[in-house]
Parts: sequence; structure tokens; C-alpha cells
Amino acid sequence: MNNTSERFLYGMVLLALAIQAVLVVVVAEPVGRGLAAVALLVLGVAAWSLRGKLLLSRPAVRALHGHQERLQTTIREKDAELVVANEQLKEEILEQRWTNQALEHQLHYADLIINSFADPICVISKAMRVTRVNASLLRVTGYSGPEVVGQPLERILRAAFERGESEGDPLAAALKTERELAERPAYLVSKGGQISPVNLSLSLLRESGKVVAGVLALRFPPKPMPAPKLPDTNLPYRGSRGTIA
Amino acid sequence: MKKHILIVDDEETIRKLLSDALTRQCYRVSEANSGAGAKEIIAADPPDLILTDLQMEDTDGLALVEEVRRVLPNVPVLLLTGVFFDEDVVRSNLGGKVNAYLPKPTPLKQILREIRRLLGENT
Repeated sequence: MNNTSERFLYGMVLLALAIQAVLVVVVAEPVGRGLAAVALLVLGVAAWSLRGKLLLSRPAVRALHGHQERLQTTIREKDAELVVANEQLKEEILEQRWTNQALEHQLHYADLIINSFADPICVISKAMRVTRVNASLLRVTGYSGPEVVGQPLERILRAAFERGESEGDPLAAALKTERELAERPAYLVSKGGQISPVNLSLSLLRESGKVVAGVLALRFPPKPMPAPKLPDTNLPYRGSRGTIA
Repeated sequence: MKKHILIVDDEETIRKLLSDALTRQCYRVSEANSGAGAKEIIAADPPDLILTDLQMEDTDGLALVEEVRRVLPNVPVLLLTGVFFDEDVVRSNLGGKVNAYLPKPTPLKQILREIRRLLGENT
């Protein structure tokens, strides 16, 4: 039933009620009886039509209720699925954060170890680039980390061969042939261009048996000790028991 | 009744992450950032399990475990640390002092499994 016919029905009901009211209050018999009968008839027709309309709409209402229940069930199911997925996601995020912090902790601990060395330490790739340095190396060269990490090693270290003190670059050869070096002469170049002689030792950094990098430990050669002041040999030795002539 | 777990670690991030994970598993969690703090909690509210780091500012985990053993001899202790890398070395050096050892990169799921095992819960 469309809106126009509904409006018509409601109009009829209202009209019938109005006629009844007028009849009761104003109009006298016998005209009133006739009009009242007409009004009752109109009312009856309207009531019948409304009943029919209600009967017709009942299955639709039931279907609507069923649909609504199904919709609510679906919403509840989806809601439960979302809760489970959300919990899973939270757990994954927590696990990820845990893994990240564990890695950060390991890196931090590795930094603490490498920075605890008083001697300059430098990690180089097989292509002779600086990949990691310790605080001591930064202090003696005057560079900051970003200024040397990723740069060619020659920025901070020159092998002694450049001054003709040894044949060929021992470092490059050692990395290539996977040999370790101990106490080889080299020169450390500071940011200000100052050159200091150092002794370098190379340890090979292996991963799954393959050399992936080298660790350079630099050591400043010990300063020559001042010659002890020897006693004047011309003087006679004075021991506790007297003088030896 | 919820089981009570004491986390002892001087790093707040680690304590927070472990606490979140354990609370989600319906454990009651207390946190201490030092050996002294841990001892206070142990005295006031004895835990069912202690999860401790090895290195702390005022003590180390093993010294703490020795003290705990005097007061709570049967409480399981799980040592969680990033200091040791060689498990065999750890086992031979820590054998008998702690109930279990896990290195810090261990996944949370595995830590939770170990905790359930130490608490005698179904895994």
C-alpha cells in the first residue's frame, strides 16, 4: 500500500470520527441517524482496509526482524573476529618491539665493549671502507663518527709503504689473502692533517667461515725511554763496604 | 588467583615490555629496577617466579639469586640477559643457581613458554 492510499484511509477515519462528533453534539434526529450510519460505514471500511494493510505487512515485518537478527549475528561474529585479530596484532607489535629492543641492547653492549678499548679500533670492509670506529679513534683523529664511517680507510690511515718503509699495502693484501697482521707500521692521519706513526694489527672478522671484514687495532709506538743517567765511570765505585780503587 | 611475577631489570623499556606481555597472559606483575628494590618487593609480597637481568647498577642477578634462595628457596628464577652469548658457558657457570637461562634476543613467546613451564602450568 502506497502513501497516498494510506493518507486517504487515515483521512476517511478522521472524517468518520468528525461526523460522529458533529452528530453527537449538533444534529438532531432522524437526519442524524442516517448520517451516523454513513459515518459508521465509512469507519468500518477504513478499519477493514487498515486490517488488510496490517495483515499484508506482517510477513514483511517478520522478514525484517529476521534480517535484523542475521545482521546482528554477523556484526557480533565480525566483532569477535576483530577482537581476535586486534589481540593478535597487539601481540605481534609487542613481539616486534621486544625484538627491536633486544637488538638495540646488543648493539649498545657491543658499542660499550668496543668503546672500552683505550687503543683506537676500526672495523673495515673488504673494500677497505671504514664501517665502525671506537671512541678512542675519534678522539685521536678529531673526526666525528659520520665523518669517517663509510669513508675509505685512507682518510684516517696510511700504510707505511707510502713512505717507502714497506713493500705494497700490507692491509689490502692481508684482507685479500685472509691473513692476520700484527704490529705493522702505519700512519694515522688526523682531521687537521697531523700524521702520527702507529702500529696496526689486523684481525679477520669471519661470518660462517667467510671473511667479511677486518678489525684494526692501532697502537702508538711506545715513546723511547730517556736513557738512564749513568754514573761517571771515572769516579771510583762507592759500595757499602768501602771504596774500590 | 593470579600468579605473581617479579621482573628485575634496570632498563625501563625491557621491564615495560615484559610487564605488558605478562599482564596480557593474566599474571600479576611487579617491577624492580635494582637488587635493593627487588629485595623490598620479595619481603613484602613474595613472588611465584622471578625474572631477572644479570647486570644491574647495585648488584648482579646472580648475587640477587643467592639472596633470594635464602628467603625463598623454591621460587623459580629465570635469568634473562644479553651479556652472555655462549649458552654452554652459561649453563656450566650458572648451573644450579638459576632454574633457566634465556639470552635477551629470545622471542617473547618462548620466554612466556618457559615461564609457564617453570610455574608448572600447561603449555
